Amino acid sequence: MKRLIICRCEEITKEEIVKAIREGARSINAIKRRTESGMGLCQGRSCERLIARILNEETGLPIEKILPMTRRPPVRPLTLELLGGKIE
Amino acid sequence: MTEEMMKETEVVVLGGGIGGVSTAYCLAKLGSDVTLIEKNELVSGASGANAAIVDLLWRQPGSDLKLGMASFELYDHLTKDLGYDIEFDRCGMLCPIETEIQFEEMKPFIEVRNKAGLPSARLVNRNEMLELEPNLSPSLLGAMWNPIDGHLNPMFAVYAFAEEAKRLGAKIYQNTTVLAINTERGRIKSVVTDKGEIGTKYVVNACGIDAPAIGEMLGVKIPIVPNREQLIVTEEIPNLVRRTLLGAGYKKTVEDGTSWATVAFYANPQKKGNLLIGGVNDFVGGDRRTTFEALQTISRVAIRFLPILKAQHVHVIRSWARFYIHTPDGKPILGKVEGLDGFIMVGGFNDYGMGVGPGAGKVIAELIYYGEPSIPISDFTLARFN
Repeated sequence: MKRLIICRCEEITKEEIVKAIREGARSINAIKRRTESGMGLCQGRSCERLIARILNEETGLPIEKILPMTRRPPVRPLTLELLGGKIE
Repeated sequence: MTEEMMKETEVVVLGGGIGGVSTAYCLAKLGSDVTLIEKNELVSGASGANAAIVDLLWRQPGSDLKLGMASFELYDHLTKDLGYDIEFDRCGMLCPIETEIQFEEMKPFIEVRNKAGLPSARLVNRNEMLELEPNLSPSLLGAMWNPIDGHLNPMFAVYAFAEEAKRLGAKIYQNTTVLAINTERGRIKSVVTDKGEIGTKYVVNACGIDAPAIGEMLGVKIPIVPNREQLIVTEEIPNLVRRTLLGAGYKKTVEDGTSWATVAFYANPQKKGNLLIGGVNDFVGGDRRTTFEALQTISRVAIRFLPILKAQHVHVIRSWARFYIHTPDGKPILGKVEGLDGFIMVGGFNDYGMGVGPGAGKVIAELIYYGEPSIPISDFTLARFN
């Protein structure tokens, strides 16, 4: 298989995603825990749909049962200083 | 993946977190026929969402410390003998101290641990602390230091135990729900799941926060409640923080009239350079959302200990909350459950499941296989709560 990057932030390839699925991962969160895809700066914004499609192709799970992955704040990267606010 | 459930097995382990997979692995290694059942996917609970700290420094002298040491041996075994990269890095744990009083209080803490088999732990002064971790605030007085502690990738550790267990013949069923557990004359007989029934002599309850629900099926009360812990993770900042940091005496309770929470400080560098920082803990039942107030507090406290995070405009990329497995006395629940032969507990690890989980799995496997564990676990029985 060609070295095809799926998660750009963490540089995770399609091959690694497929391997995780073949080892038993059946959700985007489980693929994330095995490969670290979606753990980088963009938090899966660019890769989650691609990963959902690979999971669909490999297992037949319907896309609507796969998406979305768990969302957590912040919406985009934020400095600790800003998040912490003014320190007395 | 619709596999047919096996009909018979010697031991059923319920739960695919660190306690469950290490029990399954150790049993399989001893030659037992073991089947692990996980309701969701492996590592879906506390084992997959914690601060990734593994330390011996905070273990209680005695069996607790021995379980920690046995866990470290198993992590070493996975890494060195079996070739799994679980990112086990014994970079050392540094516990900064803020006041003279704390410094005095930590002297006996270190002394009992030195005597109990942890000679590496010691107090360091400010200069030595800053040599070990240059970016800590110079306003700190010093620290406790244990050079053999550190961190790992908890997910990778769980997958590694699961893979090895499978290689040794264990069966693992994910996305499988336990509907009932049958008993006969005070002894475990079978486990009924949505994928079929499996006959067995032993059920090991390693269900973490869901352990009480399994107990309930058998009329056994297990006093575990979820304690929400909120954490944040930063962008990759390699080498800005090199040690696993944990505020030695820093634990504050914040009240706002209707609720309360405890605030602690830890910062744990990961292999790729991200820093995990926490944490704020409270009891809110099954609510696993994060709160703005908690994330704000975590950020403020972190900047106080590590001013570099502000100076270098370090970014937070994610926050999350996990449940740690709270027991009334803060100790795990391990071993046979009185009154029901074959029902065995592995859990209640509070906030240090990665630190003692594999050791607990090992002694539970010994208890089942030999009838006697190599580390005494009589302090951890469920019966102590009666």
